[in-house]
Amino acid sequence: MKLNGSVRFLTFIAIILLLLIIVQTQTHAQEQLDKKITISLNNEVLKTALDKISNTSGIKFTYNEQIAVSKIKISVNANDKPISTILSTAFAGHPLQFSALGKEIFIRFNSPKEKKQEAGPAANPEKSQEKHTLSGTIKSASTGETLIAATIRALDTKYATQSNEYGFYSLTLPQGKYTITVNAIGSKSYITTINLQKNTSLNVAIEDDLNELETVTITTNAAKRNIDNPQMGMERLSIKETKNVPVLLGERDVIKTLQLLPGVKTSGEGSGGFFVRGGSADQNIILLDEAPVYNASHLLGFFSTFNSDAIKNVTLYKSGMPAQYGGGLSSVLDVKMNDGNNQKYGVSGGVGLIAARINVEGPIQKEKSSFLISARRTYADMFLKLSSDSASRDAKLYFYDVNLKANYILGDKDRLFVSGYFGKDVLGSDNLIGINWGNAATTLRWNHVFNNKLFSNTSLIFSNYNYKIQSTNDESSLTLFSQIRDWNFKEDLQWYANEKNTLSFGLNSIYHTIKPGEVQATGNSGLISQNLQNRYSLENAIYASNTWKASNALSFTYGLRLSAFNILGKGDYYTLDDAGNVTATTSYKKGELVKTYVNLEPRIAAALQLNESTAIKASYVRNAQNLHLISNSNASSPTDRWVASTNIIKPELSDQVSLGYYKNLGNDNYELTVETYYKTLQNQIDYRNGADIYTNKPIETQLLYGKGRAYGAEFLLKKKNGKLTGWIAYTISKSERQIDGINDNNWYNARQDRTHDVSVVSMYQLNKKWSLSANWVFATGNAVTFPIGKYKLLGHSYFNFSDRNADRMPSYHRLDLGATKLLKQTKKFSSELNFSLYNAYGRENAYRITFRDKETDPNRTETIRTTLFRFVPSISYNFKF
Amino acid sequence: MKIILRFILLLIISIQWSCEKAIDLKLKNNVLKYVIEGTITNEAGSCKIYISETKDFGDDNQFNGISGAIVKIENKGNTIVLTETEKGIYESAAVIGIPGETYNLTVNIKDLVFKASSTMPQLVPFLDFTLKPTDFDTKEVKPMIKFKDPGETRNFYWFQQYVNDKLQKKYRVINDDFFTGQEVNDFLEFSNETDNKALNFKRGDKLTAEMHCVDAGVYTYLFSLFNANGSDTGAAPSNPVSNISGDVLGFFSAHTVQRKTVTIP
Repeated sequence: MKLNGSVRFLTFIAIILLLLIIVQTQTHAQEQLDKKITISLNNEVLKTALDKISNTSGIKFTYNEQIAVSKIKISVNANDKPISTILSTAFAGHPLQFSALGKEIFIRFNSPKEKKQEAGPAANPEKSQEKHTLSGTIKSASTGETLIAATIRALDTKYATQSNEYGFYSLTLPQGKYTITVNAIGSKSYITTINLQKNTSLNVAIEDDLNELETVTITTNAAKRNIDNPQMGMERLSIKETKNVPVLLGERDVIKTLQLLPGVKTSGEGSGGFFVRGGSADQNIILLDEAPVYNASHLLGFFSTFNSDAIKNVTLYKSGMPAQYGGGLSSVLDVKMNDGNNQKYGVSGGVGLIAARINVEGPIQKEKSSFLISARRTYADMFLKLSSDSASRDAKLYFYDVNLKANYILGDKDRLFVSGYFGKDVLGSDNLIGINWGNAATTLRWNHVFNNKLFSNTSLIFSNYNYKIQSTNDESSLTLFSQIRDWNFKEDLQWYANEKNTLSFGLNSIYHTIKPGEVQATGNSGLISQNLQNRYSLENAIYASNTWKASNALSFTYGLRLSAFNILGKGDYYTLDDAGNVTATTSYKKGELVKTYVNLEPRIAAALQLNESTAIKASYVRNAQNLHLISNSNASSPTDRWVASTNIIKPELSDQVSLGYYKNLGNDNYELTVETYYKTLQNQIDYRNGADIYTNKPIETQLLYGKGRAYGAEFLLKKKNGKLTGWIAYTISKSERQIDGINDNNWYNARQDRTHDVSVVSMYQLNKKWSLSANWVFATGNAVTFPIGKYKLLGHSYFNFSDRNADRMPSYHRLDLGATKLLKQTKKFSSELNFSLYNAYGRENAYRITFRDKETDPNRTETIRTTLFRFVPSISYNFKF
Repeated sequence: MKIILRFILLLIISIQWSCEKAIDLKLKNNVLKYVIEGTITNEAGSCKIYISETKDFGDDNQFNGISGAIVKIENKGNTIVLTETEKGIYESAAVIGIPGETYNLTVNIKDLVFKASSTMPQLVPFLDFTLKPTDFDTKEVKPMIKFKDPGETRNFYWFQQYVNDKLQKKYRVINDDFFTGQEVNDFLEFSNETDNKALNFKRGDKLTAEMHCVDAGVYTYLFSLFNANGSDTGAAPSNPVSNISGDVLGFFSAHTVQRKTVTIP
C-alpha cells in the first residue's frame, strides 16, 4: 500500500535527523573550553580581562561579585590556543580556578576547604558538624515571579534541593563555606558564596537569560536534569517550550504540546482531551492554581482553556503521583499561572486567525503586590457571517476566557493570592439551537512560612462547571441544564526536616454538588419540565509522604493517602436487579449519610543513581477516583454526564507499577528517558448496549461495570541546548477492558488503544530574527468497530458488527511547520509574527469512517472517510510592552 | 434531544475544512447470521415476516431471502403457520392484529429456533400532521406531528417517514418519559443529506408519516438500531438489542398503524 511507503520514508528521515543530532553533539562536547582564540593581555584587571576574552571568543563567563571586584591582574599571550590553555596560563600563581558550567565558563576563587565529599556528613569522622538551614524564595529579577523547580545546589557537594510550587526552598547543610548555585530553565545561573554559621535566609532574584551578546541566540538550559530524586513519570513544560511548537490555527496550546510527549495521546483530531497511559479522558485531574477544571477545552476540543500568556509552569504526572494529589486514575496536570509582574507594568497579547488575546499585569504596590488580567476571545463567528450557507451565517460560535489574579506579600513569612477564572463557550444556530458551557473557578490561597523548614499553603476554592443546551422554535423551547459545583479546602505542608528527609503532609476536603440535569420546557411541545435529583458528596483526604535520601545514590519516597468519599442526602438511591431495573428506592434526608467509600492509596517510589548521569527508578501508586464521566465519546463534549460514586457506582481504582531508566548525555545537552508501566483498573464503567444517555431513569440503570489493564513502554530523547532543540518520543502500548455484558464478556481493546505513537518535535533558531519549528507525528489507528456484513431491514442497509474495537482506523501521520519572525525588539516593546502550516503535506487522515448505501447506486454500499484538516495555514501577531 | 445534538455536531463539522471521500477498506469476511424482520399490524393482510441472511460488504443490496423456514404465530392458544409467498417473505391473511393482544413468533430455520413475543399496544390517535410554510427548504422539511399521550400507561411511539410513498431510512422513536399524559407537538425531520439534487424537496412532494404504537422491546430495538452505526461523537457501534431470542438480527413487532400525509405547498 502506498501508505506504508510514505511512512517508511518519513521514519527514515526522522532517524537521519536523530543521527545528525547525536553526531553534532559528539563533536561539540566541552566546546567552550576548546575554543581557540588569539589574545594578548598585559596586567589586566581580572574582570576586564575576562570581558576581553568573552568579546573575542563569544564565550561567556559566570562569576560572583567577589571575582568581579577583584584586584587581581592577569597576563597572557596566546596565538590560536584553546581557552583552557589560556586560562591555565593566566591563572598560574593566582588562587583562581575555572570549569565548564553549561555553555559558560565558571570562574571562582580556590578554596582550601572545598573538596568533593564522597560520603555523607555522618561518615565524616573528624567533624562533629552542626547543621544549619539555608532557606528563602527564588524569583525572577525582572518580574518578581516566583520560580518553580529551580535547583539550588551547594557546589562540589551532594546537597541540592528544588524550589516548590511557590518558589520556596530549604536546604540543610553542615556549617561551613559554600558556593551556592541556582539554576532554572530560561534563567541565567546565579552564583554566590556563603558562610553558613547559623540558619540563614537567602532570597534569590535571578536574571532572565536573554543572551544579547551573541549574534545568535542560543537557548541555554544550564540546569542539568536532576535524576537523583525518586519522582518518575513526570513531565514539566516551560512556556518557552510551548511557544515555538506549531499547532492548529496557531493558538499556542499547552495541552496540544503535552500530547507530543510519550505516554500522552490525543483524543482526536484537534480535540483537547487527552489519554494518559491507556486511561480515559476523565481520569486526568486538571488543576489550575489548585482549582479543579472539569472541561479543559473550548469548542468541542479545538482549543484548551489555558491561555498560554499567563502560564508559569505545567507539570504532568503520569505515574508516581505525589501523595498530595488524588482523584484521578491516569494523571495529574498541575497548571500554575503567573502571579503578575510586581516590578513594572506590562501589556502583551496577540491576534491570531481566529482568536485574540491580551494580558495586562503590573504592581499594585511595587515589590509587594501585583495583579494579572488575561483574556481571550475567538471571532470565528465573524468568518461564519461570510459564509454562503444561510444556516452558517446565523450561527454563533465563540468562546472567551478571562483569568484574574492578584497577590500580596504581607511581610517575610506570608503571601496571599486571589485568583479567578471564567470561561464560556457558545455554539448556536440562528436562535434555534444553542449549547453553552462554562467553567468558573475562584481561589484564595495563603502561603505561610512557619520557620525556615516548614512551609504551608492553605487554599479555599470554589469551582463551577455547567452546560446548557437550548432549543427554541416558534411553538416551544426546551432547555437542558447540568452542573458540577465544588467547595474545596486544602492545607498542604512541606517540612524540610533535615538534609535527608523532606516531608509533605496535609488534607483536602471537597464538597461536590452535581446537578445531573434539569429539563425545562415552555410552550406546547408537550415536554414536561423535569429535575433530575441533585447529588451531594463530601470527598476528604489526608496524606503524608516522606522523601528520604538514604545515601548519596539511593532515595526513597514513601507516602500514603487516605481518601474517604461520603455520599450524602438529600436524594433517592436505588437498588437494581441484574437487568438494570429498579427494585427498591431509599430516600435520604438532607445531609444524611448514604454510604462512605474509604480507600488507602500508597505512593511509593525509589531511585538509584548508578553514576553522575544515570539513574534507575521504580514506583508503585494506587489511585481512587470518585467522579466519573459517563460518555460514549472520545472528545470531551459538553454533553457528557459527570456522575459521582453512588451506592451502586463504586469508586474506580488503579494500581500502577512503573520502572524507568534515565540518562543525561552529551555533557548534559541530552536527556534520555525510558519508562515502562503496567496498570490495572477496577470498577470501570461503560454503557449497556442500547443505553439512553438522556433518560430520566436513574443513570445506574444504563451502566455496566468491569475492569481494565494497560501496559507499555515510553522512550524520550530530548535535546536541550544549541540552535536545534527538541525531542523524539516513542510509545508502544496496549489498553484493554473487560466488562460483563459487552463483547460477550471478553476482553476488548479500549477505544484509546493505539499501539505505536511517535512524535518528533524540533525547533531551530536560524538567526537572530527567525526561528523555525517542525513537528511530525505518527500513530497507528485507534481501536474501532467495523462491520463484518450487512443486511436489509426496513427497506435499507444496516450493518452487522462483531467484536467491539477489534478493528483499527488507518494510521495517522502529519507534519506541521512553523516559523517565527522577531519584528522589533527594544527594551520597551517587542513583537513577532508567527506563521504556521498544519498538516503540511496534506495527508488525508481519517477523522471518522462511516458506512452507507452509495448515493449514486443504492444497490451498493460504500465506506466513507471524513478528513478534517489539510493544509491549514495560520498567521498570528504577538506583542509585548 | 438527540436530533438537537446531531444537528449541532453536523453543523460544527461542516464548518471546518472537512471533506468526505469514498475509500476502499478491507473489511473482515461476513459471518453469516440470520435476519428476521416481523410485523403484525391492526390492518388486514399486513402480517409479514422477512427472513434473510447477512451479506458481504461488497455484495449488492438485494434482499436475499431464506426459503424453507417454518414460521408460526401464536395468539391465545391459536397457532397459524405462515406461507412463503416470495423467497424469504412469509405471510398469512389469517393473522389480524388486535390492540391488547400478545403475539408469539417462532421461526425454525434448519435446526435453529428463534422466538419472539410482542404485545400490540392500544391505539393512540394520531391527531395531526401539519406543515408550516416556514418549516421547509429544498434540503429539509420539518412537519409537525400531534398526538396526546395517555398518562396511565407507558407508551412508545415509532414514526416511519415516506417521501412520495418511498420509505425513508430515517425514522423517529419517542418514549413518554418526558411527555406522560401530555399533548405532544413535535417535529419529524425529512432531509436530503446527499448531494443528489434529484432528492431535493419541491412543491407538490408528498410527505407521509406513519405512526405506530409499539411495545417496550420494539422501542429498545429501534432506539438502539438508530445508534447502531455509532454516534458522531465516537460512540462504539454495536448491534441493536433485539427482542428475538437466539443469535439473530432483526425484530418482531405487533403495532398499530395510522397514516397522515402533507403536501409541500
